[in-house]
Amino acid sequence: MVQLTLHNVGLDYPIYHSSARSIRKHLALTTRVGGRISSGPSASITVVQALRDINLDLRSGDRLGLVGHNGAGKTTLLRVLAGIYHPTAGTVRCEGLRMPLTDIQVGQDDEATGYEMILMRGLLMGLKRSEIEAKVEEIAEFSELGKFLELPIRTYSSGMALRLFFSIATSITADIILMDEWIAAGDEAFIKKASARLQMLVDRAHIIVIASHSRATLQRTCTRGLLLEAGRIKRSGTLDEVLDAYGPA
Amino acid sequence: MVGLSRLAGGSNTLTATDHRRLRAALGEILATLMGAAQWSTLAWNDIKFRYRRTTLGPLWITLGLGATVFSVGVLYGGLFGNELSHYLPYFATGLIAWTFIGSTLSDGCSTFLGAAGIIRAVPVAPVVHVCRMLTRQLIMLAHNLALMVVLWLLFQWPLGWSFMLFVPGLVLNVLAVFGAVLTLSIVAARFRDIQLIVSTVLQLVFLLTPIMWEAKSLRGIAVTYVVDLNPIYHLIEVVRRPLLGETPMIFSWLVSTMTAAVCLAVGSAFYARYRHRIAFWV
Repeated sequence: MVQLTLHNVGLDYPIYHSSARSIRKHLALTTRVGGRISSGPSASITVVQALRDINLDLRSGDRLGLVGHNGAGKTTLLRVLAGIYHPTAGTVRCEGLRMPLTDIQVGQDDEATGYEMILMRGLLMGLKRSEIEAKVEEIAEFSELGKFLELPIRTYSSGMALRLFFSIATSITADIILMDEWIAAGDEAFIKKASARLQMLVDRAHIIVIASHSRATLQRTCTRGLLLEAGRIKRSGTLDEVLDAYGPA
Repeated sequence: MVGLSRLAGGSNTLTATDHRRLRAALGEILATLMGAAQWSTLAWNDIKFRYRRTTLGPLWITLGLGATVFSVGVLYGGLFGNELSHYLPYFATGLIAWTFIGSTLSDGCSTFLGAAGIIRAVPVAPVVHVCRMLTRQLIMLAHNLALMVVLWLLFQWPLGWSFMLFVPGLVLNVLAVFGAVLTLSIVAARFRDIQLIVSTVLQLVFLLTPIMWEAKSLRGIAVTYVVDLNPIYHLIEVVRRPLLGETPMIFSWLVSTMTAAVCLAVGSAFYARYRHRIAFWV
Protein backbone atom coordinates (compact mmCIF):
# COMPACT_ATOMS: atom_id res chain seq x y z
CA MET A 1 0.00 0.00 0.00
CA VAL A 2 1.31 3.41 -0.98
CA GLN A 3 1.79 5.69 1.97
CA LEU A 4 3.94 8.64 2.99
CA THR A 5 3.97 9.62 6.65
CA LEU A 6 5.82 12.44 8.41
CA HIS A 7 5.94 12.31 12.18
CA ASN A 8 7.10 15.43 14.09
CA VAL A 9 9.49 16.30 11.30
CA GLY A 10 11.86 19.17 11.85
CA LEU A 11 14.68 20.33 9.65
CA ASP A 12 17.50 22.67 10.60
CA TYR A 13 19.38 23.99 7.66
CA PRO A 14 22.93 25.18 8.31
CA ILE A 15 24.06 28.26 6.40
CA TYR A 16 27.76 28.95 6.27
CA HIS A 17 29.05 32.44 5.77
CA SER A 18 32.05 32.59 3.53
CA SER A 19 34.15 33.24 6.61
CA ALA A 20 32.39 30.76 8.87
CA ARG A 21 32.87 28.05 6.31
CA SER A 22 36.64 27.87 6.53
CA ILE A 23 38.28 25.33 8.80
CA ARG A 24 40.40 28.12 10.28
CA LYS A 25 37.41 29.33 12.27
CA HIS A 26 36.84 25.86 13.64
CA LEU A 27 40.43 25.37 14.65
CA ALA A 28 40.60 28.82 16.21
CA LEU A 29 37.49 28.12 18.25
CA THR A 30 38.65 24.76 19.51
CA THR A 31 42.01 26.04 20.63
CA ARG A 32 40.39 28.67 22.80
CA VAL A 33 40.37 27.71 26.48
CA GLY A 34 37.67 28.76 28.87
CA GLY A 35 33.98 29.21 28.91
CA ARG A 36 33.43 30.74 25.49
CA ILE A 37 33.22 27.50 23.53
CA SER A 38 29.54 27.13 24.31
CA SER A 39 28.92 30.01 21.96
CA GLY A 40 31.01 27.90 19.55
CA PRO A 41 29.93 26.88 16.11
CA SER A 42 26.45 28.32 16.37
CA ALA A 43 27.95 31.79 16.48
CA SER A 44 29.59 31.36 13.10
CA ILE A 45 26.98 29.11 11.56
CA THR A 46 23.51 30.43 11.03
CA VAL A 47 20.97 27.70 11.48
CA VAL A 48 17.74 28.20 9.62
CA GLN A 49 14.86 26.31 11.14
CA ALA A 50 13.35 25.41 7.80
CA LEU A 51 10.69 23.01 9.09
CA ARG A 52 9.19 22.49 12.54
CA ASP A 53 6.74 19.91 13.90
CA ILE A 54 5.44 18.72 10.56
CA ASN A 55 2.93 15.90 10.87
CA LEU A 56 1.48 14.59 7.68
CA ASP A 57 -0.18 11.34 6.68
CA LEU A 58 -0.60 10.81 2.96
CA ARG A 59 -2.37 7.75 1.66
CA SER A 60 -3.36 6.39 -1.70
CA GLY A 61 -5.73 8.83 -3.37
CA ASP A 62 -4.49 11.93 -1.59
CA ARG A 63 -3.89 15.05 -3.67
CA LEU A 64 -2.19 17.65 -1.52
CA GLY A 65 -1.64 21.28 -2.41
CA LEU A 66 1.10 23.18 -0.56
CA VAL A 67 0.63 26.90 -0.17
CA GLY A 68 2.58 29.57 1.63
CA HIS A 69 4.63 32.69 1.01
CA ASN A 70 8.09 32.56 -0.52
CA GLY A 71 10.46 30.96 1.94
CA ALA A 72 7.69 29.34 3.97
CA GLY A 73 9.30 25.92 3.50
CA LYS A 74 7.33 24.48 0.58
CA THR A 75 10.32 23.41 -1.50
CA THR A 76 12.16 22.11 1.56
CA LEU A 77 9.13 20.04 2.52
CA LEU A 78 8.92 18.69 -1.04
CA ARG A 79 12.58 17.67 -0.83
CA VAL A 80 11.95 15.92 2.48
CA LEU A 81 8.97 14.14 0.96
CA ALA A 82 11.13 13.12 -2.00
CA GLY A 83 13.86 11.70 0.24
CA ILE A 84 16.43 14.26 -0.89
CA TYR A 85 16.69 16.00 2.47
CA HIS A 86 16.74 13.90 5.61
CA PRO A 87 15.03 15.59 8.54
CA THR A 88 17.09 16.53 11.57
CA ALA A 89 14.18 15.61 13.84
CA GLY A 90 11.26 13.21 13.57
CA THR A 91 10.72 10.38 11.12
CA VAL A 92 9.66 9.90 7.52
CA ARG A 93 8.08 6.65 6.42
CA CYS A 94 7.51 5.95 2.78
CA GLU A 95 6.08 3.03 0.92
CA GLY A 96 6.00 3.36 -2.84
CA LEU A 97 8.16 4.80 -5.61
CA ARG A 98 8.67 8.55 -5.27
CA MET A 99 9.35 10.79 -8.23
CA PRO A 100 10.25 14.44 -7.74
CA LEU A 101 9.33 16.43 -10.86
CA THR A 102 11.21 19.49 -9.68
CA ASP A 103 14.48 20.40 -11.40
CA ILE A 104 13.84 18.16 -14.38
CA GLN A 105 16.78 19.50 -16.41
CA VAL A 106 19.41 18.59 -13.85
CA GLY A 107 22.23 16.39 -15.14
CA GLN A 108 22.17 17.98 -18.59
CA ASP A 109 25.36 17.47 -20.55
CA ASP A 110 25.58 19.72 -23.60
CA GLU A 111 27.85 17.35 -25.47
CA ALA A 112 25.43 14.43 -25.17
CA THR A 113 23.01 13.75 -27.98
CA GLY A 114 19.30 13.69 -27.21
CA TYR A 115 19.27 9.89 -27.24
CA GLU A 116 22.30 9.69 -24.93
CA MET A 117 20.68 12.21 -22.60
CA ILE A 118 17.59 10.02 -22.35
CA LEU A 119 19.81 7.16 -21.17
CA MET A 120 21.82 9.32 -18.74
CA ARG A 121 18.78 11.00 -17.23
CA GLY A 122 16.97 7.67 -16.94
CA LEU A 123 19.93 6.10 -15.12
CA LEU A 124 20.00 9.04 -12.70
CA MET A 125 16.32 8.49 -11.98
CA GLY A 126 17.22 4.94 -11.03
CA LEU A 127 15.93 3.11 -14.09
CA LYS A 128 17.66 0.11 -15.55
CA ARG A 129 19.14 0.35 -19.01
CA SER A 130 16.57 -2.08 -20.41
CA GLU A 131 13.71 -0.10 -18.88
CA ILE A 132 15.01 3.07 -20.50
CA GLU A 133 15.50 1.41 -23.86
CA ALA A 134 11.88 0.28 -23.75
CA LYS A 135 10.77 3.89 -23.35
CA VAL A 136 13.10 5.60 -25.82
CA GLU A 137 10.74 5.34 -28.81
CA GLU A 138 7.87 6.83 -26.89
CA ILE A 139 9.96 9.66 -25.42
CA ALA A 140 11.39 10.48 -28.85
CA GLU A 141 7.98 10.54 -30.43
CA PHE A 142 6.41 12.70 -27.73
CA SER A 143 9.24 15.25 -27.77
CA GLU A 144 8.75 15.71 -31.57
CA LEU A 145 12.49 16.40 -31.83
CA GLY A 146 12.96 13.84 -34.61
CA LYS A 147 16.42 13.90 -36.17
CA PHE A 148 17.61 16.42 -33.61
CA LEU A 149 17.80 13.62 -31.04
CA GLU A 150 20.92 12.42 -32.83
CA LEU A 151 22.59 15.82 -32.38
CA PRO A 152 24.25 17.18 -29.24
CA ILE A 153 22.06 19.15 -26.85
CA ARG A 154 24.16 22.28 -27.29
CA THR A 155 22.55 22.64 -30.72
CA TYR A 156 19.08 22.77 -29.16
CA SER A 157 17.19 25.94 -28.33
CA SER A 158 16.25 26.18 -24.65
CA GLY A 159 12.67 25.34 -25.60
CA MET A 160 13.79 22.19 -27.41
CA ALA A 161 15.93 21.09 -24.48
CA LEU A 162 13.02 21.63 -22.12
CA ARG A 163 10.79 19.54 -24.40
CA LEU A 164 13.28 16.70 -24.21
CA PHE A 165 13.64 16.81 -20.43
CA PHE A 166 9.91 17.15 -19.95
CA SER A 167 9.34 14.10 -22.14
CA ILE A 168 11.90 12.08 -20.19
CA ALA A 169 10.63 13.13 -16.76
CA THR A 170 7.01 12.39 -17.57
CA SER A 171 7.70 9.01 -19.16
CA ILE A 172 7.97 7.27 -15.80
CA THR A 173 4.99 6.17 -13.81
CA ALA A 174 5.54 6.61 -10.09
CA ASP A 175 3.38 5.97 -7.05
CA ILE A 176 4.10 9.34 -5.50
CA ILE A 177 4.67 12.48 -7.55
CA LEU A 178 6.08 15.67 -6.11
CA MET A 179 5.95 18.94 -8.02
CA ASP A 180 7.11 22.47 -7.44
CA GLU A 181 4.60 24.34 -9.63
CA TRP A 182 2.92 22.61 -12.53
CA ILE A 183 5.68 21.92 -15.02
CA ALA A 184 5.19 23.04 -18.60
CA ALA A 185 7.28 23.09 -21.73
CA GLY A 186 7.41 24.26 -25.30
CA ASP A 187 5.32 26.38 -27.59
CA GLU A 188 1.57 26.81 -27.47
CA ALA A 189 0.66 23.54 -29.16
CA PHE A 190 3.18 21.57 -27.11
CA ILE A 191 2.08 23.12 -23.82
CA LYS A 192 -1.42 21.71 -24.35
CA LYS A 193 -0.10 18.29 -25.24
CA ALA A 194 2.36 18.37 -22.34
CA SER A 195 -0.27 19.38 -19.85
CA ALA A 196 -2.48 16.49 -20.95
CA ARG A 197 0.42 14.07 -20.54
CA LEU A 198 1.26 15.37 -17.11
CA GLN A 199 -2.40 15.19 -16.13
CA MET A 200 -2.44 11.52 -17.14
CA LEU A 201 0.63 10.87 -15.01
CA VAL A 202 -0.97 12.71 -12.11
CA ASP A 203 -4.20 10.77 -12.49
CA ARG A 204 -2.37 7.46 -12.45
CA ALA A 205 -0.22 8.24 -9.38
CA HIS A 206 -1.43 7.26 -5.92
CA ILE A 207 -0.25 10.37 -4.12
CA ILE A 208 0.35 13.86 -5.52
CA VAL A 209 1.90 16.81 -3.73
CA ILE A 210 2.08 20.13 -5.57
CA ALA A 211 3.47 23.37 -4.23
CA SER A 212 1.98 26.23 -6.18
CA HIS A 213 1.09 29.89 -6.11
CA SER A 214 -1.60 29.30 -8.73
CA ARG A 215 -5.03 28.70 -7.25
CA ALA A 216 -6.26 27.41 -10.60
CA THR A 217 -3.58 24.70 -10.65
CA LEU A 218 -4.31 23.63 -7.10
CA GLN A 219 -8.08 23.65 -7.54
CA ARG A 220 -7.80 21.57 -10.69
CA THR A 221 -5.76 18.82 -9.04
CA CYS A 222 -5.86 18.90 -5.27
CA THR A 223 -8.40 17.97 -2.65
CA ARG A 224 -6.33 18.49 0.47
CA GLY A 225 -4.36 21.57 1.38
CA LEU A 226 -1.54 22.54 3.70
CA LEU A 227 -0.58 26.11 4.56
CA LEU A 228 3.00 26.62 5.68
CA GLU A 229 4.25 29.67 7.48
CA ALA A 230 7.85 30.04 8.62
CA GLY A 231 8.34 26.28 8.46
CA ARG A 232 5.30 25.35 10.52
CA ILE A 233 1.91 24.05 9.51
CA LYS A 234 -0.46 26.97 9.92
CA ARG A 235 -3.52 25.28 8.53
CA SER A 236 -4.30 21.81 7.29
CA GLY A 237 -7.57 20.59 5.84
CA THR A 238 -9.52 20.58 2.61
CA LEU A 239 -8.01 22.68 -0.15
CA ASP A 240 -10.80 25.28 0.06
CA GLU A 241 -10.37 25.77 3.80
CA VAL A 242 -6.64 26.17 3.42
CA LEU A 243 -6.93 28.58 0.50
CA ASP A 244 -9.37 30.67 2.53
CA ALA A 245 -6.95 30.73 5.44
CA TYR A 246 -4.14 31.75 3.09
CA GLY A 247 -6.03 34.82 1.94
CA PRO A 248 -8.85 35.90 -0.25
CA ALA A 249 -8.53 35.04 -3.93
CA MET B 1 40.53 16.58 14.10
CA VAL B 2 38.99 18.17 17.14
CA GLY B 3 36.69 20.37 15.09
CA LEU B 4 35.24 17.39 13.30
CA SER B 5 34.67 15.23 16.35
CA ARG B 6 32.89 18.13 17.95
CA LEU B 7 30.86 18.53 14.79
CA ALA B 8 29.78 14.95 15.25
CA GLY B 9 28.09 16.11 18.40
CA GLY B 10 29.41 14.91 21.72
CA SER B 11 29.95 11.31 22.69
CA ASN B 12 32.68 9.31 21.03
CA THR B 13 31.55 5.89 22.19
CA LEU B 14 29.67 3.70 19.75
CA THR B 15 25.98 3.48 20.57
CA ALA B 16 23.23 1.28 19.20
CA THR B 17 22.23 4.16 16.91
CA ASP B 18 25.74 4.28 15.49
CA HIS B 19 25.63 0.56 14.74
CA ARG B 20 22.28 0.86 13.02
CA ARG B 21 23.51 3.85 11.06
CA LEU B 22 26.66 2.04 10.00
CA ARG B 23 24.72 -1.00 8.90
CA ALA B 24 22.36 1.17 6.84
CA ALA B 25 25.29 3.01 5.24
CA LEU B 26 27.13 -0.21 4.40
CA GLY B 27 23.92 -1.59 2.93
CA GLU B 28 23.62 1.49 0.74
CA ILE B 29 27.23 1.18 -0.42
CA LEU B 30 26.83 -2.52 -1.21
CA ALA B 31 23.56 -1.95 -3.08
CA THR B 32 25.26 0.78 -5.11
CA LEU B 33 28.21 -1.48 -5.94
CA MET B 34 25.77 -4.16 -7.10
CA GLY B 35 24.10 -1.67 -9.45
CA ALA B 36 27.34 -1.15 -11.35
CA ALA B 37 25.51 -0.69 -14.66
CA GLN B 38 24.27 2.70 -13.47
CA TRP B 39 27.49 4.44 -12.47
CA SER B 40 29.75 2.68 -14.94
CA THR B 41 27.55 3.82 -17.84
CA LEU B 42 27.42 7.34 -16.44
CA ALA B 43 31.21 7.39 -16.05
CA TRP B 44 31.82 5.97 -19.50
CA ASN B 45 29.55 8.62 -21.02
CA ASP B 46 31.30 11.37 -19.03
CA ILE B 47 34.57 10.41 -20.71
CA LYS B 48 32.90 10.04 -24.08
CA PHE B 49 31.29 13.50 -23.92
CA ARG B 50 34.32 15.26 -22.49
CA TYR B 51 36.53 14.16 -25.36
CA ARG B 52 33.83 13.99 -28.02
CA ARG B 53 35.25 16.52 -30.44
CA THR B 54 38.89 15.57 -30.03
CA THR B 55 40.72 13.17 -32.30
CA LEU B 56 42.68 11.25 -29.66
CA GLY B 57 40.42 11.76 -26.66
CA PRO B 58 41.86 10.67 -23.31
CA LEU B 59 44.94 9.41 -25.15
CA TRP B 60 46.08 13.05 -25.12
CA ILE B 61 46.59 12.65 -21.39
CA THR B 62 48.59 9.49 -22.10
CA LEU B 63 50.67 11.35 -24.67
CA GLY B 64 51.33 14.11 -22.15
CA LEU B 65 52.40 11.49 -19.65
CA GLY B 66 54.60 9.87 -22.30
CA ALA B 67 56.22 13.23 -23.08
CA THR B 68 56.96 13.71 -19.37
CA VAL B 69 58.42 10.23 -19.07
CA PHE B 70 60.70 10.63 -22.06
CA SER B 71 61.85 14.20 -21.49
CA VAL B 72 62.08 14.32 -17.69
CA GLY B 73 63.03 10.65 -17.63
CA VAL B 74 66.04 11.11 -19.90
CA LEU B 75 67.13 14.17 -17.91
CA TYR B 76 66.77 12.64 -14.45
CA GLY B 77 68.07 9.30 -15.62
CA GLY B 78 71.24 11.14 -16.61
CA LEU B 79 71.19 13.13 -13.37
CA PHE B 80 71.02 10.00 -11.23
CA GLY B 81 73.41 8.16 -13.52
CA ASN B 82 70.91 5.43 -14.33
CA GLU B 83 70.57 3.23 -17.38
CA LEU B 84 67.61 4.51 -19.43
CA SER B 85 66.41 0.96 -20.04
CA HIS B 86 66.07 0.64 -16.28
CA TYR B 87 65.06 4.18 -15.32
CA LEU B 88 62.40 4.99 -17.94
CA PRO B 89 60.17 1.95 -17.19
CA TYR B 90 60.64 2.59 -13.47
CA PHE B 91 59.69 6.25 -13.73
CA ALA B 92 56.76 5.52 -16.10
CA THR B 93 55.16 2.82 -13.91
CA GLY B 94 55.54 4.97 -10.82
CA LEU B 95 54.11 8.02 -12.55
CA ILE B 96 51.13 6.07 -13.91
CA ALA B 97 50.33 4.60 -10.49
CA TRP B 98 50.77 7.99 -8.87
CA THR B 99 48.61 9.77 -11.46
CA PHE B 100 45.77 7.39 -10.62
CA ILE B 101 46.09 7.90 -6.86
CA GLY B 102 46.76 11.64 -7.03
CA SER B 103 44.09 12.62 -9.52
CA THR B 104 41.50 10.43 -7.78
CA LEU B 105 42.21 12.09 -4.44
CA SER B 106 42.12 15.59 -5.92
CA ASP B 107 38.97 14.86 -7.95
CA GLY B 108 37.52 13.26 -4.85
CA CYS B 109 37.44 16.65 -3.14
CA SER B 110 35.05 18.03 -5.75
CA THR B 111 32.90 14.92 -6.20
CA PHE B 112 29.87 16.14 -4.26
CA LEU B 113 30.43 19.81 -5.03
CA GLY B 114 30.42 18.98 -8.73
CA ALA B 115 27.23 16.96 -8.42
CA ALA B 116 25.47 19.57 -6.26
CA GLY B 117 22.62 20.08 -8.73
CA ILE B 118 21.86 16.37 -8.91
CA ILE B 119 22.18 15.91 -5.15
CA ARG B 120 19.55 18.58 -4.52
CA ALA B 121 17.18 17.36 -7.21
CA VAL B 122 17.25 13.57 -7.37
CA PRO B 123 17.21 11.10 -4.46
CA VAL B 124 20.40 9.22 -5.42
CA ALA B 125 22.75 7.61 -2.88
CA PRO B 126 25.79 9.94 -2.63
CA VAL B 127 28.17 7.00 -3.05
CA VAL B 128 26.95 6.71 -6.65
CA HIS B 129 28.83 9.94 -7.42
CA VAL B 130 31.97 8.51 -5.82
CA CYS B 131 31.74 5.33 -7.91
CA ARG B 132 31.12 7.39 -11.03
CA MET B 133 34.24 9.49 -10.41
CA LEU B 134 36.39 6.48 -9.52
CA THR B 135 35.31 4.68 -12.69
CA ARG B 136 36.29 7.73 -14.76
CA GLN B 137 39.74 7.60 -13.17
CA LEU B 138 40.04 3.86 -13.88
CA ILE B 139 39.20 4.49 -17.53
CA MET B 140 41.96 7.11 -17.65
CA LEU B 141 44.35 4.65 -15.97
CA ALA B 142 43.58 2.06 -18.64
CA HIS B 143 44.53 4.59 -21.31
CA ASN B 144 47.74 5.47 -19.51
CA LEU B 145 48.75 1.81 -19.35
CA ALA B 146 49.06 1.95 -23.14
CA LEU B 147 52.29 3.84 -22.46
CA MET B 148 53.66 0.74 -20.73
CA VAL B 149 53.09 -1.30 -23.87
CA VAL B 150 55.13 1.19 -25.88
CA LEU B 151 57.91 1.18 -23.29
CA TRP B 152 58.00 -2.60 -23.08
CA LEU B 153 58.30 -2.85 -26.86
CA LEU B 154 61.25 -0.45 -26.63
CA PHE B 155 63.11 -2.03 -23.71
CA GLN B 156 61.61 -5.54 -23.41
CA TRP B 157 62.44 -6.18 -19.78
CA PRO B 158 61.68 -9.78 -18.68
CA LEU B 159 58.07 -10.28 -17.58
CA GLY B 160 57.22 -13.48 -15.70
CA TRP B 161 54.05 -14.62 -14.02
CA SER B 162 54.71 -12.16 -11.21
CA PHE B 163 53.29 -9.66 -13.70
CA MET B 164 49.83 -10.92 -12.69
CA LEU B 165 50.40 -9.54 -9.17
CA PHE B 166 49.55 -6.22 -10.79
CA VAL B 167 45.87 -7.18 -10.41
CA PRO B 168 45.74 -7.59 -6.60
CA GLY B 169 47.98 -4.54 -6.34
CA LEU B 170 45.50 -2.48 -8.32
CA VAL B 171 42.60 -3.85 -6.28
CA LEU B 172 44.31 -2.67 -3.07
CA ASN B 173 44.84 0.75 -4.64
CA VAL B 174 41.20 1.01 -5.69
CA LEU B 175 39.96 -0.01 -2.23
CA ALA B 176 42.28 2.47 -0.52
CA VAL B 177 41.35 5.44 -2.70
CA PHE B 178 37.65 4.52 -2.55
CA GLY B 179 37.76 4.74 1.25
CA ALA B 180 39.89 7.87 1.19
CA VAL B 181 37.59 9.58 -1.32
CA LEU B 182 34.50 8.72 0.75
CA THR B 183 36.07 10.68 3.60
CA LEU B 184 37.60 13.47 1.52
CA SER B 185 34.51 14.17 -0.55
CA ILE B 186 32.40 14.58 2.58
CA VAL B 187 34.90 16.73 4.47
CA ALA B 188 35.56 18.82 1.36
CA ALA B 189 31.85 19.48 0.93
CA ARG B 190 31.70 20.83 4.47
CA PHE B 191 35.02 22.70 4.57
CA ARG B 192 35.93 24.39 1.33
CA ASP B 193 39.59 24.68 2.33
CA ILE B 194 40.15 20.94 2.01
CA GLN B 195 40.32 20.96 -1.78
CA LEU B 196 43.14 23.53 -1.69
CA ILE B 197 44.96 21.80 1.15
CA VAL B 198 44.81 18.45 -0.64
CA SER B 199 46.20 19.80 -3.90
CA THR B 200 49.12 21.36 -2.03
CA VAL B 201 49.76 18.22 0.01
CA LEU B 202 49.63 16.06 -3.14
CA GLN B 203 52.43 18.10 -4.75
CA LEU B 204 54.51 17.57 -1.66
CA VAL B 205 53.75 13.84 -1.53
CA PHE B 206 54.74 13.50 -5.19
CA LEU B 207 58.18 14.89 -4.42
CA LEU B 208 58.62 12.95 -1.17
CA THR B 209 57.58 9.59 -2.63
CA PRO B 210 60.01 7.51 -4.67
CA ILE B 211 58.51 8.12 -8.11
CA MET B 212 61.18 10.15 -9.85
CA TRP B 213 63.90 8.82 -7.57
CA GLU B 214 64.46 5.34 -6.21
CA ALA B 215 64.06 4.23 -2.62
CA LYS B 216 67.33 2.31 -2.71
CA SER B 217 69.29 5.55 -3.18
CA LEU B 218 68.14 6.45 0.34
CA ARG B 219 69.30 3.25 2.05
CA GLY B 220 71.78 3.80 4.80
CA ILE B 221 70.57 7.31 5.38
CA ALA B 222 68.62 8.02 8.57
CA VAL B 223 65.59 9.44 6.75
CA THR B 224 64.48 6.14 5.21
CA TYR B 225 61.38 6.25 7.41
CA VAL B 226 60.08 8.95 5.05
CA VAL B 227 59.76 6.13 2.54
CA ASP B 228 59.04 3.16 4.78
CA LEU B 229 56.15 4.84 6.58
CA ASN B 230 54.68 6.41 3.44
CA PRO B 231 51.57 4.36 2.55
CA ILE B 232 51.42 5.93 -0.92
CA TYR B 233 54.90 4.54 -1.62
CA HIS B 234 53.75 1.02 -0.81
CA LEU B 235 50.55 1.40 -2.81
CA ILE B 236 52.64 2.45 -5.80
CA GLU B 237 55.07 -0.43 -5.18
CA VAL B 238 52.43 -3.15 -5.36
CA VAL B 239 51.44 -1.89 -8.82
CA ARG B 240 54.86 -0.83 -10.07
CA ARG B 241 56.96 -3.87 -9.20
CA PRO B 242 54.73 -6.42 -10.97
CA LEU B 243 54.67 -4.23 -14.09
CA LEU B 244 58.48 -4.22 -14.00
CA GLY B 245 58.50 -8.01 -13.76
CA GLU B 246 59.52 -7.99 -10.09
CA THR B 247 57.78 -9.12 -6.92
CA PRO B 248 56.85 -6.42 -4.39
CA MET B 249 58.18 -6.73 -0.84
CA ILE B 250 55.92 -8.49 1.65
CA PHE B 251 56.10 -5.33 3.74
CA SER B 252 54.56 -3.33 0.86
CA TRP B 253 51.67 -5.79 0.65
CA LEU B 254 51.16 -5.51 4.39
CA VAL B 255 51.16 -1.72 4.47
CA SER B 256 48.94 -1.51 1.38
CA THR B 257 46.41 -3.93 2.85
CA MET B 258 46.37 -2.06 6.13
CA THR B 259 46.03 1.28 4.34
CA ALA B 260 43.10 -0.03 2.34
CA ALA B 261 41.46 -1.42 5.48
CA VAL B 262 41.90 1.80 7.46
CA CYS B 263 40.72 4.00 4.57
CA LEU B 264 37.64 1.83 4.08
CA ALA B 265 36.83 1.81 7.79
CA VAL B 266 37.20 5.57 8.17
CA GLY B 267 35.36 6.20 4.90
CA SER B 268 32.41 4.02 5.94
CA ALA B 269 32.25 5.71 9.33
CA PHE B 270 32.18 9.16 7.74
CA TYR B 271 29.64 8.02 5.19
CA ALA B 272 27.40 6.56 7.87
CA ARG B 273 27.61 9.68 9.99
CA TYR B 274 27.37 12.46 7.45
CA ARG B 275 25.82 11.21 4.23
CA HIS B 276 22.48 12.80 5.06
CA ARG B 277 24.13 16.16 5.65
CA ILE B 278 25.76 16.32 2.22
CA ALA B 279 22.66 17.81 0.57
CA PHE B 280 22.85 20.77 2.97
CA TRP B 281 26.57 21.34 2.47
CA VAL B 282 26.92 21.35 -1.31
